[in-house]
Amino acid sequence: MHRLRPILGPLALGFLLLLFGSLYPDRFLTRTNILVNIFGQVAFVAIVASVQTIVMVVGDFDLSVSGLAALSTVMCATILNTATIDGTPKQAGSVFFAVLLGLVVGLLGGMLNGILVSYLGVLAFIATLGMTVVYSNLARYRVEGKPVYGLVQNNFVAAAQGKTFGVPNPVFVAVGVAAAVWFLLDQTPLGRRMYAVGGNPDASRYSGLNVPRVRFTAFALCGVGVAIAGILQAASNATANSTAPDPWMLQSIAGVFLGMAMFRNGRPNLPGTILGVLLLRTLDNGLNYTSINDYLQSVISGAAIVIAVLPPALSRLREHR
Amino acid sequence: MTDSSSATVSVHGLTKRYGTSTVLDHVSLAVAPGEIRALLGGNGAGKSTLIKILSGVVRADSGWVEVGGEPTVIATPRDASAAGIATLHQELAIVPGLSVAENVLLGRPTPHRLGRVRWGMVNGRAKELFALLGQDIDVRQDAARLSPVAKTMTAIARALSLDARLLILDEPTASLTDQETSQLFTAVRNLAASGVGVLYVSHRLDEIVSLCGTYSVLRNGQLVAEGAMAETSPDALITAMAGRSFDALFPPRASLPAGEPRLVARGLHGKVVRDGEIDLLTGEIVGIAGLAGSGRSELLRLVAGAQRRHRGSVTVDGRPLQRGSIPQAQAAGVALVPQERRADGLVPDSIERNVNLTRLRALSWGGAAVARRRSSAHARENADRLDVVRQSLRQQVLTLSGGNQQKILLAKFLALDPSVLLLDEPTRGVDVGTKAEIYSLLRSLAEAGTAVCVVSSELSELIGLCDRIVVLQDGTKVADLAAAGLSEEALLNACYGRIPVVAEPRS
Repeated sequence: MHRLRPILGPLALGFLLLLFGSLYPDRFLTRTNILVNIFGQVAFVAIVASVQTIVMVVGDFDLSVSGLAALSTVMCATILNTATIDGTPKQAGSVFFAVLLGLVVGLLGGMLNGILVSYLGVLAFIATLGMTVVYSNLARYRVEGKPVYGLVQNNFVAAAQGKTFGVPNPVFVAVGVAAAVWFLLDQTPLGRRMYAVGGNPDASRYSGLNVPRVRFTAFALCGVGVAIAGILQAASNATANSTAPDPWMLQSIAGVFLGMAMFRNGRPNLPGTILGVLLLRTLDNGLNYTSINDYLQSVISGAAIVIAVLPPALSRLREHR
Repeated sequence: MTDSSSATVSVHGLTKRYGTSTVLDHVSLAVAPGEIRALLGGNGAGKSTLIKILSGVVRADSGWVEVGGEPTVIATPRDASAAGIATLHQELAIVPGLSVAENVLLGRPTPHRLGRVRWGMVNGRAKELFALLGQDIDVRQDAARLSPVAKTMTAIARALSLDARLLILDEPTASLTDQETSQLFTAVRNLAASGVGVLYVSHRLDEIVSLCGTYSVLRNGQLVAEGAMAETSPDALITAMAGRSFDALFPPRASLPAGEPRLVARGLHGKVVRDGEIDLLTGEIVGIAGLAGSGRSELLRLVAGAQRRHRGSVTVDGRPLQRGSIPQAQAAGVALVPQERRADGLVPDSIERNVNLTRLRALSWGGAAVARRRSSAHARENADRLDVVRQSLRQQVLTLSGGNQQKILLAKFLALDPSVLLLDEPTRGVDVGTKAEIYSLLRSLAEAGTAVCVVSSELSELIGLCDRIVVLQDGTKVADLAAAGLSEEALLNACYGRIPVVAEPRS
């Protein structure tokens, strides 16, 4: 089992491709389906899961990713739209300023999470769970619960909906974010500190690390990341919908957990996370082609998450015995 | 309840190999009802493998176990409990939120009538078991609120509830104070008197000598000595374990008089410590002695910035240290090697990442990216310096033996090149061979000009290793003694506040 682990993820992915590929060769294994429906759709979750990995490396969770993504997205979108919420036409603001505002909102939200968790000592679980309610309802308040349309001005939408060599542009952003997170976690002293803090905070403190600052930084970076994902999704849908990021919390954490199950002694790691979200997306996409009831499809993908993390959970049990 | 089931538990010709190395080589020993037998040996001697075989976690390649003369197959932990073998590990499995009585009877069916738990019976049974141990504990309180020793007692009582014939205790005193230890010993003696055999594993010789009636010594997987405790001595036991004598463990004391004062602390007030003071000089090893709760570790932590001081000053080479900042203390050359290596010392990662943890910035390109080659070289150099036995630098530290883990911990802080090195129980849970290596390392650091300060609860270690011993009582310094020629008795008296007349306090 231990030797199998590193190839378990690719193996499962290969199996899914083979399964759906043989069932629906004409529709599943097409260039468009793979590049647009799988890669194009996974891009946003991949960004969120990448930054979620940072928080989970330091030993915490961020359950506020959906709420914070919604808030930073509507803050950005309400500057860019061509009509106010009640329908009065207005001048669209500058893309640069709007995106910058969205990212700053994400950063501030992440910093607030970080202060609560690492400086005020609130458990990450309850702090971020509470904050996701705060952020998402602030977002709904800002837009009165309605979607924000009319984001087509100033090339905002065009860039996100465009393709390069047939690949949707958000994929490139996701690859960039993932690469940056990989570099951070694997190649920088800060990344080493993050793994140390997540592994043993007391030992890290005695080693002279500033443990609260490391955890704070993880949350702050996570905030920026979810803002990127939210804004990117709004652009590619040409609509900012405050409920669109809702599934990201579960999907991102599930992705990280799947990655932990696959690689490196069960610690969160970026390659594993990416493989994890890709697996989940491929499963969902393949199921879409079957005639299985929509609700049952969700049942299957939910169960798949639990089953996938069973082997490492069982081996942990054995170690304790 | 145990009298009827008491029986001798013995092992015969146990052999276990992992790959090419033989960790147990035809080992035979027996524990009779009522016997308290010490199992001694350095790390890697085969003690833990023997315990794992007896508790059904590992299977022997050859040899067998007999209970009451009957060969018994122990393939799983369940078989072990069925055979009456109960193992108490260092980490006790106490369930917080459940009452003490529930914890004691955790492995047993709960007595009930018509679906209702019969609390009277549950509490009564738990009380009986504690009575057997000579303990009077309120069995209805939440087990989480128990002191460490009461938790140990609870775990022993649970083992008893399973009609244990043999109780294996693995380093049960690691987290206990001296008083709690003597409480535990009373309980263990009561238990033995009721007919249970005890196999007692510990690195602390003084405890073993006072508690155990017989001993077995393992070295490199073989049984090298056994007999009655009354017919041996601590020196002889160490010789058997290490293959060398007790005095040979310690390097010769400093040849030169101590040099300049490097670290000076005055008027320290903090948790436990009151008006704490200490002077650490270059070239000198200073010991800190005191009873449990006397503030030994707290004084060290206050000095190293690991704890906030309310008042007082610490200066290094005349420059004052900010309070409560480990990074700042490290920058000034003060390194503290913490006591609990698993809890406070190591991160669950590779040797390389542990050793380099204190030097991440220096081992990077301006803090932006890790300098791979320099990092590996640095880790290798420091691991080699302490002779860490390893497969590779990528090996996970938690798979190393206790002695090698301790070396990694030391390597991590020595990598800071400290001018003041503070160590809290640097040889706890470490085998005799590694102890000797650590002692000579500390001495050579002192000779090279480092001011070394050691907190230890083993008096013989302080006397053998140090040049000078500061004695604390209730958080305050009560004596400052020269270590040469000091007897353990005199030092213990000093710990109780009775200052020996023979040794002259330093000015």
